[in-house]
Amino acid sequence: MISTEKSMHFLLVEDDIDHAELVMLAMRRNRDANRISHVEDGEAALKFLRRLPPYEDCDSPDMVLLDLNLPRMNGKEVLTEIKQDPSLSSIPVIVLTTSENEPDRIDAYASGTNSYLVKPLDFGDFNDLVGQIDEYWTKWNRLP
Amino acid sequence: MSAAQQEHSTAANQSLPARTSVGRGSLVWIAASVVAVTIAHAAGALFGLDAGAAVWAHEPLHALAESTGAVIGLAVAVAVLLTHKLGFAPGRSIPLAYGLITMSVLDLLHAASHVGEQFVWLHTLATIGGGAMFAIVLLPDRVVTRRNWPGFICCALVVFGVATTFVPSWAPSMLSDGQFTSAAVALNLCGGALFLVAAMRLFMLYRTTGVEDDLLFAVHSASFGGAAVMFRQSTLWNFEWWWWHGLRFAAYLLAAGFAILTVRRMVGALHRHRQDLQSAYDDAFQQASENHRMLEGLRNALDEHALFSMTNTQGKITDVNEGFCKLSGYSRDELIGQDHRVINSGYHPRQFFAEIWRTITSGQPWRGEICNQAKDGTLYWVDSTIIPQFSADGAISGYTSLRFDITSRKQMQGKLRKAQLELAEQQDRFTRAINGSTDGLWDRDLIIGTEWYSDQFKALLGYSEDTFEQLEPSAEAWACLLHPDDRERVLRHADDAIAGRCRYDIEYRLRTTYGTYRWFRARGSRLADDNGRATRFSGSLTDIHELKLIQAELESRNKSLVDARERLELAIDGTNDGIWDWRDVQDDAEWWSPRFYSLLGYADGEIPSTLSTFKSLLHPDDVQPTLDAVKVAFDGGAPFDVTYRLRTKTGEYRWFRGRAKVFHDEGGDPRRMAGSLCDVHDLREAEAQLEVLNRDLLAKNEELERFVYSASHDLKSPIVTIVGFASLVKNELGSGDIGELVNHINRIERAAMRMRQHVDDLLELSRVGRERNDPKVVDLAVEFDAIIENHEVEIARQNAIVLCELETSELVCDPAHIRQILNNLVGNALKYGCSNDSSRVVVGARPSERGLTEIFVDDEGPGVDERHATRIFDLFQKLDKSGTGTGVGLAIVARIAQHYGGRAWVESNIAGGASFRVTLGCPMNESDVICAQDGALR
Repeated sequence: MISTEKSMHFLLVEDDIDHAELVMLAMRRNRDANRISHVEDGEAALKFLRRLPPYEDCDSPDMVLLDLNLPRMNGKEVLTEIKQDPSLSSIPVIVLTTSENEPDRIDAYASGTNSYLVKPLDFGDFNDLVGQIDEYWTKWNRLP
Repeated sequence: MSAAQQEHSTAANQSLPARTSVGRGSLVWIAASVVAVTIAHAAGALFGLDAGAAVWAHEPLHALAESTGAVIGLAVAVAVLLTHKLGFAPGRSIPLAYGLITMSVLDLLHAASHVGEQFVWLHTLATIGGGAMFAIVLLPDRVVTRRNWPGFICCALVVFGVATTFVPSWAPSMLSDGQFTSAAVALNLCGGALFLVAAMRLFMLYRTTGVEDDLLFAVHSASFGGAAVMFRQSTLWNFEWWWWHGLRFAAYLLAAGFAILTVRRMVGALHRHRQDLQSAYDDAFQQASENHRMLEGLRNALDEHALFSMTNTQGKITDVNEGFCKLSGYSRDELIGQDHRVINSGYHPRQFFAEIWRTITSGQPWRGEICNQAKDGTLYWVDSTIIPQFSADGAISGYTSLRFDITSRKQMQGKLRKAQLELAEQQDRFTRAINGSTDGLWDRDLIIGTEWYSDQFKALLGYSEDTFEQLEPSAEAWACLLHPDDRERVLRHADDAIAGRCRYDIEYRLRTTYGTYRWFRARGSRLADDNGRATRFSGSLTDIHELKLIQAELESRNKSLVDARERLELAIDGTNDGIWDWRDVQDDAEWWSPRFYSLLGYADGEIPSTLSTFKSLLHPDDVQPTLDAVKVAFDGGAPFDVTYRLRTKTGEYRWFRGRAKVFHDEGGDPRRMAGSLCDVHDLREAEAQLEVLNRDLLAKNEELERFVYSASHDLKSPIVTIVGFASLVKNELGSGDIGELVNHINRIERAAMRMRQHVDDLLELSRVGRERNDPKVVDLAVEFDAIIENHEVEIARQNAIVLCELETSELVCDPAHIRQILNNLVGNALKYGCSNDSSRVVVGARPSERGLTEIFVDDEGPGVDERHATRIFDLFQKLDKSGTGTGVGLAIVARIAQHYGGRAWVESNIAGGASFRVTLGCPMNESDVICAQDGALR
């Protein structure tokens, strides 16, 4: 377990509640200090980031974990919107998806994602992945 | 003065001394006078010695005698002056006349005065004055006649005489004691001496000239002289005194006789002169009459042969003759008053007439040839002479012109000149033709038997001038040179030609000097006399040897060509392609092979094989590309290889491939184009089908990819959940922390259920268009009712109102498909489109474009955002996470619509809700669906 003083605020954008539960479970087991907020679609994610109702009281997240397959507004569109908004573009976005499709990967990087991660099947792997994200982005990485 | 004297005078004037005969009467008079004077002198001398004492004073008699003598003297003087004035008397007559006047006037005064000093003085003055005047004859004529000075002396003496009558003292004393003073005697003697000298001079003149007048005046002067001498011996009124007065009177009478004689002579002369004049007049009249007749004749001749006109100084015609009128065609009245411009032909330049005018106005005659124009417009030439006429003061008074008609001569000259030119040209041409021609020329005189051959003729046979002469050229020699095979044929042809039966034109071989035979072509013609007998036979010989060789070569090649052509025709017949040949690209005409026609469904030659026909058969869309390709081929770009549609006889367009080659001329311009026509219609059709199939395949591939993508995500998603929670459950069981165990197992179960649902949906989707029932007529009202019934529970839950609007009642389709569509759409409307109580859902069917039927479902819900309008018809796409569906319903609807040649889409209602529309046509197989999509896209 990596312990660090610093805690992170993640925004998880995931329409599949089971997947969201898995991520949050892994996140909680990894480090309790980290906070995680969950929205189910792209439009809600943008409202959250821009602190529009009903999220006007929420904190701005340090990082976004984004699923690609979302209703109403898919993940790629949300990613593009974030990276084109100067007030949001500095927030790291990590695409977390089931798609191993080559075009999806290319599109995601082209749209400005900071990392593209495929959801592992095993919870242990899931746990490791979340732990390493936490370690990398909180311990090693320096944000602007 | 006599005629003879006049003649002499004339002769003297001409400086020709001539003795003329003296009239007999004159001689008698002269002789008598001389005798009388001589007797008187003798008697005077005789009686003077004895009668000195007797005195007889008779003043009146004296006055009578003196005045009579004076009058006679004056008359004679006047007569002499007159004759001199008339030119009949010599210059010396003048002093004699003035002497007579002086004496006569003074004697008259003398006669008028009484005896005394003055009486004697006036006589003395008369004597000395008259003597002096007479003595002037001693001077030459030219001195005497100058300025009429004897006249002035005469006047001076008279004036002096008269003056002395008023002033007696001016005169010397004449009387002394009744006797004459010595002064008086001296003066009288002096006067007498002067008279005598004058007499001698006159006599000498008479001797020289023979003029009677000189003799008469000599006697006259001598008488005066004698009388003056006798004055010495006399005293007043004595015998001597009276004697010498008588002598003087006699002298006056002698002079009077002279005057009478002169008058008589003059009258005679005048008479003769008149006769002479009459005679001369008669002669002249006769001459004039003859001249007139001659002129008349000349004028007639002039009218006949010449043109005559007169103009004034302004050039206006004042007179013309008949000949002028005749040639010019104008009447006399038309010409008078006009100038010569009336007949100006315009042939001559203006300078020509300016030059004429300049010449004649300078007084010079002009001669030249003029071309004039008659009234009727014909031109005529005249040889014209224009002479200026002068008036008495030397000014030009007009112009006379004389013209001769030289028109025929001019025409002859013109013809002659033309003929000469033509002759010269022909000669020149002939010479050049002979020299320049490569043909040999020959000429045979059939009458005389002479023959002539040109140098070229000899050269053609290889002979030089000399060697040819040695051949003794003749028809026989020529016949010997003929090729044996040709000889008979040629000789027969020549005979026929000479006889006039045919034209001489034949080809034959002649042996040249080299011993070889060469081909020649001979052409000739004959000349015949009036009887039709040939007199000359002449013509040319052309070397056609090379031509013959070329002909032979050509024939050989032609044969090869024919062979090749036959082979080509065989090839053309054997090929499936149509052949065409556009021989001249400037021309419309082409050549099409029979196969070309049959490819188009026509019989050979059924339609004209032209470019225009071809163009008219081309499909309108293919005309321009084809012509462009032709142009590119013309310019030497890409070869002509174009696929185009042509209308066949049945009116159907078929695809053909045309390939051709363009032939260019030396200048690089297209000259000919030929090629083939290949029917590629079936190939083209197959290609089109292949293309459709390809597109179909591509579409299917894309669909497959989308399916795979959706499947990979939406099927993988539950697997992630299941595997993730299963491993979690395993951990929980291992650690004993089972608080969340049931929750996690439930999640696994839901995910598995969701996955099964997905699989079912996919199966259902794949069934559309694959497992199909036969289409049949579906009563839409029945189907719609059934659907509403099936959804009664939802309708009740949403408290919605479902309305049915059917404009179309029937549809041909698989009933299962219509039910699937209605189930999905109505279900969605009730699920998502009923946001408030008693929302209305309208379901209906109506006719649409292209004969399709449109099925629609309108709701009053929140509607569908335009951004998601397309996506919602894709597989596994859901807008509402809360929905229970799997996101495959609309995908199925879209796929069914495709199957029936229609489409599915969503619009926003005016009221705000969504309006789902589906169009359906006839069911198709799978490829038809793709084609229909393709067509819609286009």
